[in-house]
Amino acid sequence: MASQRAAKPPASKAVFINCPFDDGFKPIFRAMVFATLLSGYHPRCALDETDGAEIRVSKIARMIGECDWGIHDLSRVEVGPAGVPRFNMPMELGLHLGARLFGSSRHKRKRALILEAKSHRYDAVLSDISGQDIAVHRNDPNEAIRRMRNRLSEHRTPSEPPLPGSVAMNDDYRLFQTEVGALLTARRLDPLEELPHSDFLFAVRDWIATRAKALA
Amino acid sequence: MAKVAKKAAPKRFSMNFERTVVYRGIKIPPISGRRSATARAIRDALRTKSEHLRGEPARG
Repeated sequence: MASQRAAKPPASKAVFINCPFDDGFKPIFRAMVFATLLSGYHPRCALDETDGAEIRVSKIARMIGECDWGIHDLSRVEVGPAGVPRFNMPMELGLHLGARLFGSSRHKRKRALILEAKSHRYDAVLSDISGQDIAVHRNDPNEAIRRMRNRLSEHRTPSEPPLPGSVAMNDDYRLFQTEVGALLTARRLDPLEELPHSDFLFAVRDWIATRAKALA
Repeated sequence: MAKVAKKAAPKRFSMNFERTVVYRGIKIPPISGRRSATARAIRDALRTKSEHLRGEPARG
């Protein structure tokens, strides 16, 4: 009988997503998760279930260590109701860059995609990364998918097939939302945007498996 | 000596959910972890819908 638990994904196929998890950012986060899975990679983030007693920064550092890829969204580093910005995202980007700079040889192959909502806003937020290649998603989930797809595509090995285009990925995302959304409504389950992270991962993966079977 | 061809066991569609699948030429690995009741319900609904669209699988 096949095991229900799959092996941990290899670091070369694991993508650490560093972004806010609030409702306002969820459309972009979910789009990035979808694009990651559709590209054959495995998304990891602080929402992944682990031992509740694990210290948060240790958990994040471990995940960054286990992923060759890091997606770091700095678009929400802004002054909040408390009058100060949240610095979690820049700190996690720092962990990623630190691992690449000072870690063992395995960590030298780490690659990052740094995302912002507006061009050159990072010049004010985090000027140390000025001059690096920062991608702008304009708070648009479609654009976030396109940026992710293009970055992952740049580093495909010669033996790997090309990733589907961003238009096809966005079409698939809309189809997924329509089909799984209708299914959840019909079964009187919570809507897609209310699904817990792990349920969303399984829903995307199962939808892809169904589509693959239909197209076979 | 002639070898007897091994008859391949028919694959069950449900197993595709736990195996690597190929979609648009890309290998999509399975998700690790345990499914919640909601995740199982979504999988079952997708499976039912797919089997309905493709016709009922042969029995026996």
